[in-house]
This record gives sequence, structure tokens and C-alpha cells, in this order.
Amino acid sequence: MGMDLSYLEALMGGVAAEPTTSESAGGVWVVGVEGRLDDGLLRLVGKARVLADALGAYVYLLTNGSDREAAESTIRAGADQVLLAQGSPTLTDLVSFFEPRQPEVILFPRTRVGRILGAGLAQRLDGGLCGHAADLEVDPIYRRIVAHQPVLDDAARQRMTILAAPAMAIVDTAALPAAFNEPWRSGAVADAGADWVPAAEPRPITWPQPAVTLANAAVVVAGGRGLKTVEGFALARQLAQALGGVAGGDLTALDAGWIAEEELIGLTGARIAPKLLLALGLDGDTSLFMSIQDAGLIVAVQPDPAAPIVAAADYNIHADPADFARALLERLSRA
Amino acid sequence: MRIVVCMKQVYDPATTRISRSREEFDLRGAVKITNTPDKHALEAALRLRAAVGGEVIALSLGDAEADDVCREAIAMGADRALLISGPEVIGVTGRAVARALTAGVRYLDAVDLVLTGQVGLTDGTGSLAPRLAAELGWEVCLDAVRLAPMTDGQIEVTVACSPGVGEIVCLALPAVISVATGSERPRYAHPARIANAWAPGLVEVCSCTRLGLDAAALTADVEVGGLILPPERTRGQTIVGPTETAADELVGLLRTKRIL
Repeated sequence: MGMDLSYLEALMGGVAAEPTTSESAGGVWVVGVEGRLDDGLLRLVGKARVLADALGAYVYLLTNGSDREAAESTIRAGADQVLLAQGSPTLTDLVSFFEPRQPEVILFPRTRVGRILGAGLAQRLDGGLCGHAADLEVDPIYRRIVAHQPVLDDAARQRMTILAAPAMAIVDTAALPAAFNEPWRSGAVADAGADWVPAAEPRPITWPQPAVTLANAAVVVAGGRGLKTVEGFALARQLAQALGGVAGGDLTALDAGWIAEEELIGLTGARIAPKLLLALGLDGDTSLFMSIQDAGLIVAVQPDPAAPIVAAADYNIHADPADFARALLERLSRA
Repeated sequence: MRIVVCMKQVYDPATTRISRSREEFDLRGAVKITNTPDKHALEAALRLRAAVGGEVIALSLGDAEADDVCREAIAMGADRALLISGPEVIGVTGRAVARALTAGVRYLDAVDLVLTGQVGLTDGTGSLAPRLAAELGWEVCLDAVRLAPMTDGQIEVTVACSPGVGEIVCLALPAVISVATGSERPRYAHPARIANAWAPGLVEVCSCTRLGLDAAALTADVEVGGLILPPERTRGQTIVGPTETAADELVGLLRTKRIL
């Protein structure tokens, strides 16, 4: 597949040809066929834009999730041409759509539909696929797509050079940077010429979930001796509620009678693994550190810069914990 | 009902380390185990067999060591196993794996249902089930937590969308279904079954040539490169300033990290 020289032509004073739907082969395609146009898809269009700029290609978006007005937002996000379709495609529909178009790159969002159609399409088109990409780049020497695939629970990412054509990837859109919103971009909205059968509505079902506890909470606000009074610890509870999490405490809080035994974080209490641990007035000891090893982001509010928690935290705030809790509560209620 | 469960051998993530200096996996202490999500699929298959009768066959692809996976599946309750092995399958990538397993399913003949695990541990992507379905031309469903057979050649699948919320879909058999790790826990093998799993004739070893696959069908679609590592954890930063500005800064920080 040759390089798209239209950008060079435009630079040299010639007129770049507008992309046309049927005749042009190649291009970076984004397929979002779940009946909605969400932020994740716009971010994926942005990533496609970056790849297309490196390849000298156009960005096409095939979607059934937008009307013409909503399609404008995808042009601001980087699409050169938006193809609107009706209904939901089966794998066979997509194969017959893409076979004559000979795309160079096809990207799917990592949703259940995207995973089924993306992997199936790769198999049918004999393409190369990275089934879980957190990022994508272009190898400029060989003009190949290199996907970054998370391994070991995202402890690292593995480079996957996609050898077969078309190069395809199922992309975790939550890992991508924010979508472009560039009003000066121009593009075309066209009909995809595809009239697919609407998908059958699945029957919804719900089942009871275990209650949120310290062990499975996404946010934990932990209080300790630095909160000084039971009123001070009440601020930790309020903060936990405002952040949608659970409050807990260390042994000093238990000894002071501020928390019940099941709210204890430590070797004799709960082992926690939240995304955010807000430690208010905790000094930190071995018992606590053993139990917070799996915590994501640790923010410690601690007036004493020599406290052990200061070395373990990602962010430290040297302030009175109760004062800081009040200030943060006020910010959160305002937002 | 003839149910095939695709099972693979992976490096145990708990024993797999990452070498920062060489930017690759450090496999010196790594232990090979049966992919745990595949055991969930086997458990679902065994429950289906208990409900409607039939046969459960474990299907694996790998080197001679992958024999352990087949024996473990038989110890857990599978009737027999097929291992696709040989020098040509070492290091094959997703596209070729799907082709080889498809050939295996066709070889087993009259298969009603293929189950896979949700994802391979260590470096899996969970794209085997849709790839197999595309190769076989069968219906597919991902992340099933419950399977209930129906009388008219269909299977009712409960799929988990988010915690506590899901949907029920009906698939016509034959179908390919990936079983979520949130489904029933895999059973422990009975010691007597473990001992009997090494009886002769239970694991059939088959080469790709015998399944009718040539070297062209097994070419790689991707090339695995080095690892990209996150920056090493350093001592935490300090947010300075008076309490109010620090609170503002923290709220902004939590927003950028998408926690708020």
C-alpha cells in the first residue's frame, strides 16, 4: 500500500483530493457500532488521528450511533469522514463492508461488541490483531502499527508489532488521553450505504451484590491519632461519604473508641486495596503498612514530616488533618 | 451434548517477574500452571454435563509440558483430552492459535459447544472465543456467568455487564462461549481422579500436519517486542501551601487521575 501523498501535494501548492468513500483504499478506520457515540469513541478517533498523521492517511469513522449533528463532534475530534449506518452489523456484514475498502488500520473500542466484532473481523480478513491495546504508535521505519498491550494486570506493557494487514487493535479507550475538540477541523458526513438489521434487545437481569466493605471499597478514608477528637474523626466519615467510599481507622483510633472493631485497618483488622487511600492524621506503623500494600494512590495529611507514613505516601500534605478535612469537604460540596 | 473446553498453559503471574534492566519477563523462577479462567470454563462444562449428559473434552495447544493441563482437566472431571503439539506450534500467535484450535474442534467432530476462559493470565487478551467463532462460523457470547441449556437446540446465557447487572441472551447451538471468572468456582480434583488421570489412552496428542494445517496457516500476525515499564516508584511529592490551596490542588489531582 503506497503512501498517501495528498498532504505533500497540498504543501507543494497543489490541491489535496477530498477523501471519497468507495474508491479510496487504505485509511485508518474506527468502528463504533453500538448505537452510541460516547467519549471513549471520541478518544479513539483522536488516537486514530495521531496514527493517520504519522502514516499520511485519512481517518474514517463507521458508526451507527449518531445523527448528522452529533457526527460534527467526531470531526472536531479528528475524523476526516464519518459514515453513518443504520442497525447493528453482524460479523458477515462488516466483512463485506471492509473487503472492498482495503483498510490499512482498523480500531475497535474494547467493549463486548467491539471485542467480538474486532477479533472476528481480524480472523476473517486475515489481519493482525492486538486484542487489548492501551496505546498505539507507528514504527516509522517499517510503517507498521505497534500496540502496547497491558500484561500482568498492567504492571507493564508489551510492544506488539502488527505484521499482517490490515493492522487491527481492540483499544481500551479509558487508557487513552482526552479527546480532541478542534473546531477548525473539516470533514464530511456521508451515508455508509449499509442498512443492517437492528440487534435483538437482550433481557436485563440484576442480582444482589455484596455490600461495600473496607476490603473491596474503591476509596478509603482512614483516620488516626492526628484527628485528635471524636468530632475530628467524624470529619473522616463525612469525607468518606462525600467521596463515595468507606471510613476506617488504625489501632490508635480503635483505642480511642472512635471506630468499631470491624473498621480497623491493620494486621488484626481489614486488608484494603482501594484506588485512593486518604490517610488523615495516621502516623503509620508496620501493621498498617502491611495492610495497605495494595492501595493505589496514597494521600497522607500529616503535620509531622518525620512520621513513617510520609515516606510511604504518593502525596503528602503538611497540615492539620481536621482543618484539611473541613477544607476538602467544603470544596467537594461546592463541586 | 459434546462440549469442548479450550485450556492453555500459562506462566503463573505470581511467579513471573519483570526485569527492569532487560525490559522483558524474567522467567527464571516462573512456574507453568493451567490458566485459572480456563478452569472456570471447565467447571461450567462439567455442570452442563451433569444437567444434560454428554461428554466434556479438554482441548489444548502447546509443547509437551501442556500435557499437564490435559491431565489436570481429566482429574477435575473431563472425559478425555486432545493436545495439539509439535515443534510448529511453539510461539504461535493469536490468529494461528485460533486456526489450530478450530482444526482441533473439527477433528473432534459433532461438537455442540466450545467454552473458553475469559482471558489468559499474564499476557492474555481474551480474543480467542470471537476468533474461534469467526473461524467456525458459529454464534458467540462473551463473559458468561451462567449457562442453562434449553430443549430446542439453544442455550440460555447470563452475561455480566457490570457488578450486579447483566443480561440474558439465547444462542443457537453450536456456539462458542467465554466463561467469566465471576462464575462458579472450579472444583478441586478428587485425589483418586488425579491418580487415574495418567491412565493410558486419555490424552490424544495430535500434530498440526495431521489436522491438515500447513505452515502458511500458522504464520505470525503479530511480533512480540520488549516491555514498556512505568516509572519506578519514587518518594512521594509534597503538596505545599496553606490548607485551602492544598485542598484545591488535591481535588484537581484526583480529577486528573479520574478518581473523582
